[in-house]
Amino acid sequence: MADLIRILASIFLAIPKGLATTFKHLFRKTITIDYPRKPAKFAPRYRGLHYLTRYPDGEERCVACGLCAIACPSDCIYLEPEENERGERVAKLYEIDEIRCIFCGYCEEACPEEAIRLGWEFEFSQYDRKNFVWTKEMLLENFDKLEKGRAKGFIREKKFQFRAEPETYF
Amino acid sequence: MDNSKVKLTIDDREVEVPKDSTILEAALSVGIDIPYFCWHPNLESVGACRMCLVEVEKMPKLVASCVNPVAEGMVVHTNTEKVIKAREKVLEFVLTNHPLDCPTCDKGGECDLQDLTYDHGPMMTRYREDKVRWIVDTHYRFDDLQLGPLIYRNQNRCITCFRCVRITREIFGYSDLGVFGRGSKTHISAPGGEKFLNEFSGNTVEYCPVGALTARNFRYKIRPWLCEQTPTVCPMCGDGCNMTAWSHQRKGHIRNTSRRNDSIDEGMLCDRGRFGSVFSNHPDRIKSPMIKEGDTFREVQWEEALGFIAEGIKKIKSESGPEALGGIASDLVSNEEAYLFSRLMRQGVGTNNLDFRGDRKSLLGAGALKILFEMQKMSVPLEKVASFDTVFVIGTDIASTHPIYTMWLKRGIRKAGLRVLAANSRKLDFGIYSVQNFTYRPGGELALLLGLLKVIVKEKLYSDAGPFRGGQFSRWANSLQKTNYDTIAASCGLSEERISILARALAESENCLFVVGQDLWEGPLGSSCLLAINDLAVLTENNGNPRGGVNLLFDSGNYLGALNWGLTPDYLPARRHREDKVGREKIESLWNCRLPEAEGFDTIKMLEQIRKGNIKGLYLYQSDLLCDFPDWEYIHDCLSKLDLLIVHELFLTETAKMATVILPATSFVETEGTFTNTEGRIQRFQRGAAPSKGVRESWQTLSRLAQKLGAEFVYENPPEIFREMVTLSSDAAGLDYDKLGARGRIVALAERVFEPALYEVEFDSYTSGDSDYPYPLLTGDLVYHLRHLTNYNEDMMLVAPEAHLEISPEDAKSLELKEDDTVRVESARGALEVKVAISKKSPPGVVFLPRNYSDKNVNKLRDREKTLDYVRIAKA
Repeated sequence: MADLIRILASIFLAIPKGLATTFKHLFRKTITIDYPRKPAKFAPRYRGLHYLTRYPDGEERCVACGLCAIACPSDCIYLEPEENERGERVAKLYEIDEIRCIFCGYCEEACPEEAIRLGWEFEFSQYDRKNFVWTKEMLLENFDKLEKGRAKGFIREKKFQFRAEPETYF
Repeated sequence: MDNSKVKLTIDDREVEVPKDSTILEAALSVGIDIPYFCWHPNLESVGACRMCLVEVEKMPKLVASCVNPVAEGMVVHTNTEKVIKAREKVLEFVLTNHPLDCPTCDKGGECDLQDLTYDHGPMMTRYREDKVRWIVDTHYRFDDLQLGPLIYRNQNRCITCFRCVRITREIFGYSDLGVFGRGSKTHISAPGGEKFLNEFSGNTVEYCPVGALTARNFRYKIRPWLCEQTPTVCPMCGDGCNMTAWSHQRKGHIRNTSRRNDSIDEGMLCDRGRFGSVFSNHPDRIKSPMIKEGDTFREVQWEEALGFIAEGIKKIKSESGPEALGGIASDLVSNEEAYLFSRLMRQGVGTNNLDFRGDRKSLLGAGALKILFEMQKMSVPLEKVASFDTVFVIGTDIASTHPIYTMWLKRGIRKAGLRVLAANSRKLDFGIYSVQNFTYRPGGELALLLGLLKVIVKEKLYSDAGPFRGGQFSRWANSLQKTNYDTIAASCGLSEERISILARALAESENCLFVVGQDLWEGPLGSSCLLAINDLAVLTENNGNPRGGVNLLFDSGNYLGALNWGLTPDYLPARRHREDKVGREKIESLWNCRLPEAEGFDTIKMLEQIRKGNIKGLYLYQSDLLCDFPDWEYIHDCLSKLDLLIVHELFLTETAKMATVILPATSFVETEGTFTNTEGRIQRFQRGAAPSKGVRESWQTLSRLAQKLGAEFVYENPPEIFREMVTLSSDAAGLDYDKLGARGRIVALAERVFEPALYEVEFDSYTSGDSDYPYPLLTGDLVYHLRHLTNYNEDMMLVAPEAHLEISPEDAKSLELKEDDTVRVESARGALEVKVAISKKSPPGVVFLPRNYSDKNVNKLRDREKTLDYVRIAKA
């Protein structure tokens, strides 16, 4: 008899015991986020889609030195320099194959001009493999979008302080 | 020179070196590494950079090893703590004012300063102050100054090693680059307003240890580490300098650097080779086979085009026999392609109508070629040129046609007091080095040579120990009496006195080399001139054995290779004459066919036959006849008469536009093979860049076409062709394609026994002009151009963008012309409007027009029936 009572008690008491845990969490703060209805938040040093930065006056920082391309372990960066009308070395082509990229961040580490950066963007799935090649214009546009977001206060994270002026070598 | 040796110890190693070498040379000779910036093996040491400091026992201070000669019993340490520290400090000093702009510097990746700093330098800088900056223009942030059309200078980066200035001056004899200012204001510049341009300017870029001098063609192009480097050989002139072709996966062939070969170029290249041979990545390349339909071309598949050609050839063959077909190749194709083309025409088509010379009014026939082959036995290798005491250059502006040959002559002048005597209808200019010019009237070359022979015989300047005395000699000497000095002086424009000065100089020199230009021996009097040169060399006993020599110059990349491997109607591959039974049978058994018996026609006779309607089909393999042939109207008429014109070309040239079928060819970087240079040296070049998509390598096209014509051509690759063709020649038979080596092999293709013989020469001279057309017109290649090929090169078109009529200052004065005035040049054939360049190279009364421009084609003024063209000049 006593055994029966113990068994019944264990059955009927287990439900409120388990539900107590459930109810306890009901009032706690959630860990998951309501993606995609709410925006995801990232650590400041998250490594997402690349962008090419500009100086405050709008000029591109990249001098097409090719160090990012040689630092890249998956060989996903291709660039070609050219000369602009002021005799400066700028990138004519800057292509990143994002499907090949392993987001290690070596390119931003190698960059002497703080030009190539990895951002927070991760929603760039495509239906075609060839659409994964980000050109120079697209990479600069990524930066412009970020800057717009910063201006509106959507994005608070700022990884580092950019130099406002080109570095003088002299 | 003192040959005694000196023993010394470097880093505990016993070293034995020649007495006059320096410590640096001694160390490098045994593989001990001493870093240096300013030293270069071809230059005098100056000790400007102090990077090569070493410790020598019993010397109070460290010494610069590049300027200190070795001494007996010297003990040198190159790796002590003191030396290592000194190197670090020297680099720190060098880097105080050197900007750290490696990311934007073109030299980045191949920079001596980068490498040496990485090996020996300080890793951090202690210098915090502002660096000296050499601002050229405040508009530009990068301080680059365009020194000349091809070279940029960035003075900030310069470490004042003066290599560029020394190379330009010492090796090439030009003073158009100099050092100005002193202290921190020392800078490299071109005197007279940023006009640094000579035919060797590219070398300064290559030997600049930093990025102070950079080349236009590599400016902001691509990083060197992304390029593939392939050993290749320059096809732009007969010298055959070794180059490294740099190619990139997407951009194709982008630049060349030198590949040191001490037998030919000593690590130097001329600008025509370095910059001008980059044309393979030009957008105008033909990318697929095309068949003419109406006025336009239709792109077709390879098999369709080859089938069309095979059908056309078979049709003409069945209607009018194989003699109605002909083939003209070019002297820029490789040995393998020449052999294959010869085999295709002789076996596949079945005709001996075959040639490769398309830019001459008269060609050497089989008899003259035999003498030419005989005279080649007197040739000496390029590296020995500087060791002669007299060099007689005749019939060529050698500085334009063979720049690297000139480098050796200049070296001889500088180091051994070589005397250069030049006879040409234009003056030679060796910069600061002296040349004794004997300028003859155009057409007077044979007269001059006969005059020289006459003087030598008359003054008994030959030695009596010669092998050809007696009746034969007196008969020969008597034949010279037919012409008198007055006729000679009138034809060549040089007085008897002047001729005898030259004759005495030639006869009295210890060791004299005759350098004979292609314009002379392929000119209208070519075969007679060859005989006269032979007589001159034999008479003065400068026939190469044991002293002296005769070097016949071949102006384009593989002229000699084309001659050797069967691209003339009478000579089968490996110089087997058509009527030589043994050679013929050998070739027939190798090719497994019957060779055509009929006599073949050379280019000029072929054109006559085309005009008569006897030849109906022509295969032009990389031959731009319409632009090259010295009579535009005539060649245009001939080519438009053809039923079938096959053009196998790199570019859509004027000739290609007249074609029935166009096949794309591959350039020298897109295929592999061998070239034969002017010495007869066979050198191998490798495939550096892939041909563009859909283009077959030329040897593949030729083999496939032969297969379609029913001949069995089975080749896997060019080396296989090479292995097959060398079996035909007893001399080349031992050659192994894989073991040609870094220096190549000189192959004579004939027994080296030279039997001196004197030939009787008939006097002949050109007709003179009339009062309507007073100026004789000379044409030729500019130093920056090779035919029309370099029209497809951006650099060379920047340096020499348009045709200039070169006239002498005297003529300019009498015609009241100034530099860059536009004039109308008129001949009986046509007229051209060109600009004037006043040149001291032109003697009075003679004008020169380059033949390199397809828009201003000088051949429109020329008449194939006249040995020399005469023009009149009027201000436009």
